[in-house]
Amino acid sequence: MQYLIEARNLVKVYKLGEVKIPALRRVSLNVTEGGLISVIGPSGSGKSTLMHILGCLDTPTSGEYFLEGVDVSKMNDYELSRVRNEKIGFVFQTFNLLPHLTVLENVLLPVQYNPDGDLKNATRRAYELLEKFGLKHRTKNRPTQLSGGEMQRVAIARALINNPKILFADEPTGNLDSKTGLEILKILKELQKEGMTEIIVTHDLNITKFTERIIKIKDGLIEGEEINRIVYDVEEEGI
Amino acid sequence: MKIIRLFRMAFDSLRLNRMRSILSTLGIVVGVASLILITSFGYGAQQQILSSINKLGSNAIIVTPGKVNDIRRAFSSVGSTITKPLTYDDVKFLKSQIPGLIATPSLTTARSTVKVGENEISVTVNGVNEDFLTALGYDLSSGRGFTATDVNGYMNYAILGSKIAVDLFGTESPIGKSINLLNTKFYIIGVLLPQGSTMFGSVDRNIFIPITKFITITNTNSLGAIYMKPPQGMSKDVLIALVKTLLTNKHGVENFTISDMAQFADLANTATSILTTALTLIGLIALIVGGIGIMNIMLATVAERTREIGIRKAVGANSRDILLQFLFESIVITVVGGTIGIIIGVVGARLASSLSPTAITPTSIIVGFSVSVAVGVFFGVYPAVKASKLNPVEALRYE
Repeated sequence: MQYLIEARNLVKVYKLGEVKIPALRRVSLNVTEGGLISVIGPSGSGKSTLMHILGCLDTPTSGEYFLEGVDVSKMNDYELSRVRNEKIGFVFQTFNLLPHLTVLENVLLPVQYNPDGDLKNATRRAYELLEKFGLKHRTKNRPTQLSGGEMQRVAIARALINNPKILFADEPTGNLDSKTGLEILKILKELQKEGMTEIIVTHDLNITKFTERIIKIKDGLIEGEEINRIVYDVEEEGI
Repeated sequence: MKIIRLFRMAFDSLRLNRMRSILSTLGIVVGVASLILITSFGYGAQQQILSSINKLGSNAIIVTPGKVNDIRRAFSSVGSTITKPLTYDDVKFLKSQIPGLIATPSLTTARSTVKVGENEISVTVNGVNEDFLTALGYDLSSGRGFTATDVNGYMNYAILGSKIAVDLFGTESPIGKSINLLNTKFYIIGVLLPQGSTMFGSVDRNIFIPITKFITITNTNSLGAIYMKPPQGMSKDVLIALVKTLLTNKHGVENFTISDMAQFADLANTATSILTTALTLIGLIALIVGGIGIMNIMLATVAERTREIGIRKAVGANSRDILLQFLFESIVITVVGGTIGIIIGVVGARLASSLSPTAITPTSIIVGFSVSVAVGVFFGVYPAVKASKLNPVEALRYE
């Protein structure tokens, strides 16, 4: 069986002048397609570094990383940017929308960096995604005119616009109240049911209840892994 | 990414910081406009000198009294007393020896006054002969030129420059009228077309009389210079050799200098292109200052937009995309600024032409535009490279 993500012995060392700070120390991880995984750990544990490497925003100091069977750990800037553009979607804690673009333009941002991007089809898809997330009436608005939950839904639409293979969410509910946070989790759960592979990085133990696998990271190492026997749906948890 | 999209992105983000973009564009506008304007003075001077030389004809030669080795000093002895001066006799002698030679006394002048209503105005009176229109390339607006008979007959005829004709007679035709000049009554037989300023100043306020009459009245025999053009079929160099031999034999010594117009044209060209180059450099300095302004602004912009760069990279922009995005912003500033600057420079040169001759050449427009784009690229590359090299992870963390 081929894994979507196959990481072997990932090491990441940051250099601060003469001092070398290891952020990841030999992390290995396999992810099958369609899975919903949460990565938890205290701040400084290396979970963000792991997400950056798995999300092709950064390259490991050593180790191998295969995405869909392709070794991406030694790719150059141009190749990595294409992988990020076509195969990966990001959802951030701070939403990271461009304030001077409209909602629609923000959603279409990844398309303009896609050499095969078809703006006409992408625009149609953007409208579909925004409608699906209840933002049809917001397409011409700027992010500053939106609520936090709305901004995060725009960010999810942007992450999905190029039909990625995998979605990375870095504390996606961290800047939201609990009600809105659950709404976002519900969207993420639904996307998984539609076949999306998702990795959520968080330090919120509540979120892990909704994921199938929980990977615990501490001091740059995978400390343990749990398989949730009961995976909650967002509704069951109540609000 | 398509160029149109890059331009749109650049315009969009320049619009966001409208005041800042306008100010940095203004730096380029001022630079390009001053480059176009001040080089137009240089080109204007150059064209004026060359056209006045061309009017005389490139095969014209000038004989001046006194022997000098450097043509820049050829006219230093004009008007000074010299033991063996050039005389009108020399002109007649050369014309008799070289059939078909066009030769006229020139720079042989006296100051006089003429009455205009109640006022007296000062004029320059030139003694010339029947060849002077042909030799100097002047044209008449009305009347006729001097004939050999007029000159040999000591006729009190006068030809007026265009401005003095208007000063004296307004809109009336001066032909057949008389004026009092050097205590002698002269009848006007012709009026020149406006000549503008020529190599040796304006002749539009000059009055021309036959050299024979001039010599009699002023009681001088020395000519300031003799202008000559070779007869049909004779080259300038042959003429120079002939004149040199004939005059040396006649005077017994080579106490004169022969210069040709081509030399003057070269000299004038060199002088004005030094001027134009110097002016261009001053204009370029203004442009470079504008370019530094752009670099400063772009560096601030890159720092401010670090997070945006991180977001764009996260969704798939590569370093080249980011580089082009920021480079196009500075190119747009300079293209817009350069275009406005060219328009202002051209209009300014038109307005300034009343003060001093100006000329806009295609070269100055092409240079102005391409230099401003080059400034945009040169000063935009460093901030753009800086932006493109940002690490996406660190850029996303930037607050």
